[in-house]
Amino acid sequence: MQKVFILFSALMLLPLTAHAELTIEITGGNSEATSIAVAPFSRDGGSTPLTADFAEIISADLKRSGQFNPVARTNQPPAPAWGEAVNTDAWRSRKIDNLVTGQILQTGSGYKARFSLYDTASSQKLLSETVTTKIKDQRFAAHHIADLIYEKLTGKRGAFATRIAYVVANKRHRTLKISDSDGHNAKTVLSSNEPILSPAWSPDGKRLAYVAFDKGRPGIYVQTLASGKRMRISSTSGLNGAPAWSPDGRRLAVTLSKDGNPEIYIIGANGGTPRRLTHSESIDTEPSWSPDGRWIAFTSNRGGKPQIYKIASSGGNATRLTYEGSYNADSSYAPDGKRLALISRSRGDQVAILDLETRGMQTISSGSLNESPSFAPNGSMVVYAAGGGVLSVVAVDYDVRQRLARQGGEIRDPAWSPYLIGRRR
Amino acid sequence: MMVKNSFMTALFVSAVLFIGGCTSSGGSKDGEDGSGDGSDTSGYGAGGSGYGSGAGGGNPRVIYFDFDDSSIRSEYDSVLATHAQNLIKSGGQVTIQGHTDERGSREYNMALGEARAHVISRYLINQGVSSSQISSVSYGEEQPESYDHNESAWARNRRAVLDY
Repeated sequence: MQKVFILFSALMLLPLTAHAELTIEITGGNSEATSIAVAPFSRDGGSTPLTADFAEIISADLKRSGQFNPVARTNQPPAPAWGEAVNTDAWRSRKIDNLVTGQILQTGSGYKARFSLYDTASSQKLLSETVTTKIKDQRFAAHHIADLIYEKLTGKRGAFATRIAYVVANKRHRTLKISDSDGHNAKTVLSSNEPILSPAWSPDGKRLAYVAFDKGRPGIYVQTLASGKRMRISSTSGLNGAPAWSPDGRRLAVTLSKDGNPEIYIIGANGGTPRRLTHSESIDTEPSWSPDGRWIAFTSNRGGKPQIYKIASSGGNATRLTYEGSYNADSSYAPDGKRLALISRSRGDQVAILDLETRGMQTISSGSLNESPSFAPNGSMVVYAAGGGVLSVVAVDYDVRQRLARQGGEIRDPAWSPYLIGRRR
Repeated sequence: MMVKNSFMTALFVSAVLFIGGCTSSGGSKDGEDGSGDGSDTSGYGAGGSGYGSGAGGGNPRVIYFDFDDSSIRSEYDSVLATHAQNLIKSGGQVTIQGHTDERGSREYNMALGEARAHVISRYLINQGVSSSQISSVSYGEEQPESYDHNESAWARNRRAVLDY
């Protein structure tokens, strides 16, 4: 009983130029992690060489989740041929809990990737599915297979087949880029000799909002990724910053200072007249919309120092959420709405997770000068800009992190995309 | 034909510029050379820094601030009074740029940079400069004077620049 998944071109036909890759390094490990072997995928016919090593990509994804300990190819028993009965004894005797086998079939316009997931203790086949992909999307197809394996074994939806938007900055040049969640396939969205900051994905993953300066003036833009078409939705006098999408994708919370000082406003995704949400004589900025749409968390120094507050998205009084230390800023809601990732200066410019129920704070970064945390859509990982101009991707509950660096240029302002592949069950 | 040619030339030039941009973005690392935006114009610390060449004469054009603070240190009173007199006399335009150091979050720093620009703007207006002569813009932490990551670099980057 096979299920077939087709990778849609909801994978965004980015009409963009491929660019220098990021270098990727995974550090840390979880000794409690589930041991899994992803055997090399065999090839059934076809002459177009694969550019993606499916087994390697799936293994790396599972490793950086912190929940799996993939076994290196050299430490695996010989893989059974696709379609043959699998005797899992050889795997179980090496203390490998799960086995993945797969085969790639070439089709007219791409590939069919078939794979099976086994439990070695029971020799049971847990999952057997086929993912269909165009040639150019083969890495993404491998990420999607990792998602399906992750979900089957953890019960939680995988978020590997996603993307990250970020800004590469040199002294005189900024580029807004998008890569796959593992840093591969970097593409340029926008280049400028003026600042670009604060990219934010629309909930459907098809548009990016961001701040870009034009002739020394900041504006908020919404760019459709497939067409490259962009629209300036705000360029009022003063600040135009910090765009954050509403969960329905119809509105953005933004920071404007047209009325004298920075306040949070709500504006339509196509522009229009902004509606003012906050009223204070201090700085109010960095809005983040709660996943249920009811709340907007934001940074304010109305108490003297920057702290995180929340306000109903319909307006009203603000409630202070953070009390530890004298500088908490740049919060963003977790997809479950129960936590906020934020920057805590008292902890040394660290990324911390604030539990909104217990009010406990947990530091998840190290080093210094960390900023701009953004959750993966399943809430299990956070990407942030780390000191030294690199991105760090950390598995929130496990001591595993991935470092994404780039030759030349600091990487900053990461934003993790929503899910890009629909569920077809 | 002329029009078409110049259009083609413009296209060609912009293509070359674009390629140039790409090359530079893959090239030198931050901090390796001293030719960054504005990084070579002004000195360290408070008093005698930031001498410009225009209508401001020898009066410093850069006002420095404390961390997460937008209040004007008293040492800048005479500097700003001189700017006010210059502007009243000339009736000219000034753009005040607000900047921050790299610590803290980027968008909060955009707001903090604006607060710094505004406090200078209000000071000049209180001295008699017309608000119509003044415009302000915040660059937050996006355009540092120094690309180093230490206290003296941060002190140098927390600034407002009077551009006229």
